[in-house]
Amino acid sequence: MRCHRCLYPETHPLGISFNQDGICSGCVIHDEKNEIDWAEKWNDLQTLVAHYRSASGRNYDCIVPVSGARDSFFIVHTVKNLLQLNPLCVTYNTHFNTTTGARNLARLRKVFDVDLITLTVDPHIVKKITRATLRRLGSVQWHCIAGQTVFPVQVAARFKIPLIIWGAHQGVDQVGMFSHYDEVEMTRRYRHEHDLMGLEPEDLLCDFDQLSESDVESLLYPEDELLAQVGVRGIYLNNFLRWDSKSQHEEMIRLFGFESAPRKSTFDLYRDIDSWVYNGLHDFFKVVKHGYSSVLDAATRDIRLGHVTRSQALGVVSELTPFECPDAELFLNWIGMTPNGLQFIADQHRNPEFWYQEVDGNWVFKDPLEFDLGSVEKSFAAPKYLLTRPGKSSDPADRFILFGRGVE
Amino acid sequence: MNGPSTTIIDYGIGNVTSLRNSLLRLGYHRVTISGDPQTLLRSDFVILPGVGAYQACMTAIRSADLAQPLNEYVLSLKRPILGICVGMQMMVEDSREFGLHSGFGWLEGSVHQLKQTSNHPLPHVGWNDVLWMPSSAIDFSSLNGMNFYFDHSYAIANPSQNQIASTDYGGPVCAAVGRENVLGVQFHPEKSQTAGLRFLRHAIEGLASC
Amino acid sequence: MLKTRICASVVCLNGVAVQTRGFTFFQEVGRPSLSVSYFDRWGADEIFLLDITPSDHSQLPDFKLLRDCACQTLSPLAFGGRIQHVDHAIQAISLGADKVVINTAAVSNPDLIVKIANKLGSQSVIASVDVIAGESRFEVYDWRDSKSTGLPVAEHLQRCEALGAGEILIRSVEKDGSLEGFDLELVNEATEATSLPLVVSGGVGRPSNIAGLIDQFNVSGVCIGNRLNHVEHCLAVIKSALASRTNIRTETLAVYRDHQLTDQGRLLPLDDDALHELVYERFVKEVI
Repeated sequence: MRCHRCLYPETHPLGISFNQDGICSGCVIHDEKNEIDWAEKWNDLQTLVAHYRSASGRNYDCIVPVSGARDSFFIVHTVKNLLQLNPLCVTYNTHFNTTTGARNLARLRKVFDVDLITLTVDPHIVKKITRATLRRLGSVQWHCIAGQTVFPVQVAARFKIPLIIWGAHQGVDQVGMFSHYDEVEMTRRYRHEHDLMGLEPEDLLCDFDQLSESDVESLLYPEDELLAQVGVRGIYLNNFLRWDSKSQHEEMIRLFGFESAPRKSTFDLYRDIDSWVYNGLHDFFKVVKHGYSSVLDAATRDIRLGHVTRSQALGVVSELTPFECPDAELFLNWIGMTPNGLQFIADQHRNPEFWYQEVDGNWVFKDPLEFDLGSVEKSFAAPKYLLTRPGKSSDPADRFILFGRGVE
Repeated sequence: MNGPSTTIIDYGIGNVTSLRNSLLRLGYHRVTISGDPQTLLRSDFVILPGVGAYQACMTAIRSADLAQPLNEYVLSLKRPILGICVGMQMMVEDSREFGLHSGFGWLEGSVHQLKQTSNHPLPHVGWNDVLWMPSSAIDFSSLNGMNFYFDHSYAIANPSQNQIASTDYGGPVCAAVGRENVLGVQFHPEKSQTAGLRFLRHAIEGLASC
Repeated sequence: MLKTRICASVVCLNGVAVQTRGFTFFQEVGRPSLSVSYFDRWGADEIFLLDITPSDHSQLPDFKLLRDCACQTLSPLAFGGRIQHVDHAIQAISLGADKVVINTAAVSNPDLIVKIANKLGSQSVIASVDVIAGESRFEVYDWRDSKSTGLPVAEHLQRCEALGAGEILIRSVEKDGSLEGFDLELVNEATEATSLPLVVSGGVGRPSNIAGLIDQFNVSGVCIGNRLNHVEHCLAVIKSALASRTNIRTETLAVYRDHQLTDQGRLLPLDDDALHELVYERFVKEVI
């Protein structure tokens, strides 16, 4: 079953429910955005953060996790300029950095005048971890999410900066896991199950994958007692602001020169443009395991926000969803694997709900995304995303960037 | 460290899985759940669980041919044993629960029903704080005031000098007894979360060195 | 002194832990075993694992769910859902449950409570009663049909007590998922109707809801549902707000000793000086 309003299927990995009209919980919670008194919510947010403003000025007021994409500009702008807080930005180096991502991150520091701490884990260890998560979970992104969700918490605990300000809570945003009124905060439990797909770093230790305790040390969550001592709290801006990622990015392009970039497997030119792997390879594995990819996420977001109709989005989703393994030469060279090896691993994770294997061994996708729309015609009309001119930098445009130089 | 080779006595009564989980969490990996007398006699440490009716438990132990091996383990071999709930009650001389039934008699004392009032109905079930006595050979003082999970209607009425802990439920209630290699607790450490884990750590380390 | 229990409920639908609102709107949270593990860690005094997956008369209780969850907790676990026979209860206890929860069978097959109480003891049987406000009184609600049974609650509670239940779990349908606080009128009626230990569920939004309830009524415990998924260490934070009361167990892995809370029960930061002191304090992790 698929939502009658957006495009999310009942098999969404975060869990989704449907009402008697066939509308999913994500859309029901999205509709709250039309009822909520956002002015009041903004006041609530200001009251909340006021408690965290350092009276003495001896410490930062909060931590803001950032990257070269994913609403980072908007979050820092909101925190620094609108809420008038003094943030410490933190970023986890995914190793898969694009030149656009490197420039955006460098620009972020400059235009917002913020301090930034980066965690770059030893590439040798990152590759071992990624080989393990590829084998066990069919995930190339796991270490990125593990690092992005833990590094801000480690810094909060170590530097005694209790408040972490995130952008959108994925569960609220995609499947309406929580109501906006719940004002859900960050929990290790959510990270354990939904971000890390049920495996915490400690669970990866394994002789076969040659992973020992010291290898995963950098990704370990701080102790409960330490978090309680400091009073670490992670809040999400999408509980306090009428979240519209597309419009927010466009404002950031206009005001602060955020760079967008062309994408192969989605029409959204703003999200995840800082990662080579998120485009293409991660999308392919998502289709292998869950029967859809990030273009469907983008379409759902934009259908709900009114940037595109369902029938318009369907054509785009059909066209751009990667059913074949894309060219992954950069990744294969990086991790030390052959194309056959990658294909073998992908095949281990094929979800029989969406795939069947023919006699000759070929895998075929069951549902070619032909949705039952009755008499409504499917058209190909992606929402308009702005493609900015690429900036100048001396970083290579065709390779993963480990340490970016960004802009002058 | 894998800890002492521990046997949790399986005589068909009581949930032994939670006990085993607790021990594993503490890093004690040499844990067996067994009703085999030979396994019992080879162990460095034995845990005797027990829930429900006293008579049913004693009968089940005898039917499983475990009474004599347990006596040998405790009285001849003098190796450490931890009794939990009815397991502890079986360590004393007898119980008045639905008649008079004899226990192992490793420690003095007799099991009687707790006093029931409208403010303190039976069973005594829930979390209650425990005070540990300085007379205990094992130092449990760091656990003073912590809450443990109880679920019983009967308790040791006259534990004499063997009592090492008490709780309050409409009056003092014997929460733990101990002498030499024998230790018994009325509460369920395997259901008492961190307090239970702390208790088990102290108990196993303490008994191992006696 | 026996402590008032602050319990967690993990409601499961088709094997997935869900949040519920008015017993109708469900939001999936994730794996029940993970919920149980984290709630235990955060200091739940007891966990109610309640399976609301609808069934036909031949379906067994979800013992796999129970098995997966029982090994995740080191505190008392109550299990409910499709328990229709004494053997189901015996098996549930052998798989790690400490108590079984009987809901619809208490109305349709009251003899079941008698049999389980006789076999396993009263303390192992909890009668769960869902309540909706009828025209002039509180009535027992049947969640399968989503409507009132017409049975007056007070009468039903007395029957459950007579049948040998050891405890009552009372859940308000209207307050379910509302975050508005308990239905105190209902609690009043329930405490008047029965002397059995009473656990109240439905509506916890903030610690003051619990404080208000336990200060006013002699209840055995409260059960918190949806709210536990909203905030890190939720139970520990709630307990810190109740810590001044001597009848609450406050030992958890994470103890919020020095923090104040807002009226809504959210954490407030330590002051600047206290945070600054922490920078120089060495944190030593306790190893049990």
